[in-house]
Amino acid sequence: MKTPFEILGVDETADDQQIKKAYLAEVRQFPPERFPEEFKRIREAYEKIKTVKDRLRYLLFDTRVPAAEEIAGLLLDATAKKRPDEERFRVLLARCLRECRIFHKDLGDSNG
Amino acid sequence: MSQKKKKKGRTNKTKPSLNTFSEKNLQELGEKYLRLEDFAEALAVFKELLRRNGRDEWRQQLARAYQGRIDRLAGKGLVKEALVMLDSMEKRCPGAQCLDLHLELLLRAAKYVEAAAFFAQNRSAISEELGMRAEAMFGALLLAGEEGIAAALGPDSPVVHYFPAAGSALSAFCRHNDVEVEQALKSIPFRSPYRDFRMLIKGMMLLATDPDAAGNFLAKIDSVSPYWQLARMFEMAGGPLSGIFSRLQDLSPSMRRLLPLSLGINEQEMDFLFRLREAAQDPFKLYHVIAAHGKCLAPARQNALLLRLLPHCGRKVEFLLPRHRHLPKEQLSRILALASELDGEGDISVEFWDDVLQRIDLARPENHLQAALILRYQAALMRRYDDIFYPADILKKLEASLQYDPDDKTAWLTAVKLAGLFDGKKKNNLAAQALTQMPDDVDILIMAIENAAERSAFKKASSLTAHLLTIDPINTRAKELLVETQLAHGRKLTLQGKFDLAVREFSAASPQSRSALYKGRSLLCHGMALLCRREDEQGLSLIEQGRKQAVSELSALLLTSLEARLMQMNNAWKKQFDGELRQAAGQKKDRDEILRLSGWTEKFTGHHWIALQECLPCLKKYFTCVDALQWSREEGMLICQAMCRAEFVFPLEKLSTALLKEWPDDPEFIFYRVWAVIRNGKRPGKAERKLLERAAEAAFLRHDYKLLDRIEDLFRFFPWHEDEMFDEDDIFVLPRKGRGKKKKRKENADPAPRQFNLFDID
Repeated sequence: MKTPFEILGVDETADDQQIKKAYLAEVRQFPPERFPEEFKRIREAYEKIKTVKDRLRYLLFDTRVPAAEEIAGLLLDATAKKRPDEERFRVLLARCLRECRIFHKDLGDSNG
Repeated sequence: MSQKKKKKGRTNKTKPSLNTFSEKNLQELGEKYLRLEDFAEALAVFKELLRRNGRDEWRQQLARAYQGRIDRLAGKGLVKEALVMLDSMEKRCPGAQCLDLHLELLLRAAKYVEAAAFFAQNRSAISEELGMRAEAMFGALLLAGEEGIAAALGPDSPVVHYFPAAGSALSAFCRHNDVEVEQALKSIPFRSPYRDFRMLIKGMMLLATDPDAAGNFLAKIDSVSPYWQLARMFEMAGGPLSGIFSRLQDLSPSMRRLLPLSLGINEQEMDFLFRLREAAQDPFKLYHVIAAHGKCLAPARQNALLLRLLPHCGRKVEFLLPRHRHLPKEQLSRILALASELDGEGDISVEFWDDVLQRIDLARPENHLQAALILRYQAALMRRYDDIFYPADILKKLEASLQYDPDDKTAWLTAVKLAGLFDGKKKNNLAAQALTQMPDDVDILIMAIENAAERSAFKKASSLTAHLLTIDPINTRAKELLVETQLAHGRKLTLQGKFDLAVREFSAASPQSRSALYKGRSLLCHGMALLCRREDEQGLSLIEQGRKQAVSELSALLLTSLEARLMQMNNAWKKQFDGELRQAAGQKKDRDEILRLSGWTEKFTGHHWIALQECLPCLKKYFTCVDALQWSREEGMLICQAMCRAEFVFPLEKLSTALLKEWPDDPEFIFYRVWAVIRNGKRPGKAERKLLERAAEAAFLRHDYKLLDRIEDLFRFFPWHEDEMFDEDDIFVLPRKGRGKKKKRKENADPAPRQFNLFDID
């Protein structure tokens, strides 16, 4: 589960201006018409830390419990979303081909 | 000593030797075995027949037996044995067509180079469909770095021909050079062995940015494609996080083995992932998983997650907090405060917030905002538990918060509202302070106007309204307030005998608001003023004109009855107007009218509500059959609220029963139904109690504590039987809000002991 600060890529000590600037940069990268889900996430993060009061409220009272999937996301964000390097791709493809045996199921029908 | 068991099974002792059979008998026996799919026996029989006489017919039967046997062996995963058998078949039955089978078995046995050579040698004799699939497989093997394939296929093979382009595309993809990928993919024709590879790369390029479009490309890869599994793996790993656990669950065992590689994680991280999935939504379990296995995350992240989960661990937090002793004391108190609140112990939570406040250095101005926010949070909590806390105590918190941060409109408005509950003078003071602090704020102005009108300070109210309308000229509430103020002032002047001035106020009020509540209202007031002066004919004429301007006949008659009371008319007039209203209430029901009148019961407050309450019984008939009409949930709720306020008990019972048929679990409709049953003088039974318990649970889950309070109040009307007292499965235990025992605290009894005091944070 990323904090609103992490979503916007700002430090917890950032001021209103810095947060707004980071928010606008994120929105430019993920405009709502093309990335509605991502935009919603960014917008919610911005609303939570927009002003100094919002930030304090978030730090003091926010009790949203992180879902297990979100925690998994913290682990996978750094890896799964990244493109594999060529070596990993080749190894994975080789293992897929060896382990999955795609010709298996048609065997009974062949050569009558 | 254990004796070696004799292996059971067929032995030559029990079975007659085949060479004792005649050819005819053997043929019959072989055909029987083929029918019974006993291919091993059939093989033996036809081999014997061929040994005696090499007839083609028997050779074909032998080939059938071989194929059946090979299929069976391959089906059991004995691919190498099947290949040996295939070799025997080709030797014994040279005419049998088994090239496809041979190729498939070689591929299944992972003898890829041999398969490629076999394919190159027999390309023209292998079926078109298998040939294409085999070529796709060889392409994938080349991309996977399998050696010897290209040489075995030969340079003329399309697999080898297009491999450089596919390899470039893959290399560029891994280097994030999408332009180069596109260029490389363009040189691969659609019908090449790398068609699915193109789809895979195109889909994977879009996975991070446009999962839907990526899904479209990946979905085009057929399940018999060598890239199908890889596509599913990347789709699973790169897709949206929501649902990742269910996607993990759907994986086949072989795919699960590939998971760490496709996700780019190690075995330890993989284990963490599956433990997270098992812990699911249980914060306590999640806490332990993260504490024990969360080292895969950065230490700061692990710690932040643990702290975030702590308040959700309920009472178990007391066992967990000692692990976090290194935290500042105010952090510990904050966690305990949040844990108490989430555990339904609002009053204890308020005390822990007091601890936090005590540890804040209020001499430093930079801490003032934090203190103000905590005080407001406490006030909100105390309001939620208003059966425990006095309004005066809540107000103290708000006032303190406003000292540290006076620019909070909501805090001012709440403070004024709270003061109004017990101290009118304090209310006026706070309203004046709020106005000084925020003179141009619309909500503060509206509050100040309402406050002035309540005190009959009409000039003040008028000037504030004028100011408000300069700030916000189209504010409908401001316009309504202006009319309300002018009408109230006019009524006051009438009662003081200042008739001309009153008429001037009534006239000024007429054009201001378009609300149905005020249409024709000034004429009604003017008419009433004339009636007060005994100018009955003119007065009644004006009242008639006012009624015509009103939005409906029934509304007009209700407003006439209401104004008769606000103008303190004599009983004869009230009786006459009420009679007219009662008569009109017998007319046909109109949906809009019912909704309008219901809305009005919510709008009127103070002495206006008292006056309206006197008129409402005349309308009872109008509300009797509202259950026969169709209502949305919101409409039904509005009407139920109105009938509850107006105490139309019988129609309310009918309506709530009808609404419950459509929304059987709605806690509010349940409340109204049971309330009406009780108010109708009926004895509530087990069915009502069960309903109410369900409603209480639903209200608690929705955090609707006001409704929960109202439901709880109804429980005292239920008969309490001793035999039911311990029926725990049957009785819904009311959520712990600490009522009862804590009511004592309100009466200044000894404070209840704190819940979380197992370790000393002082």
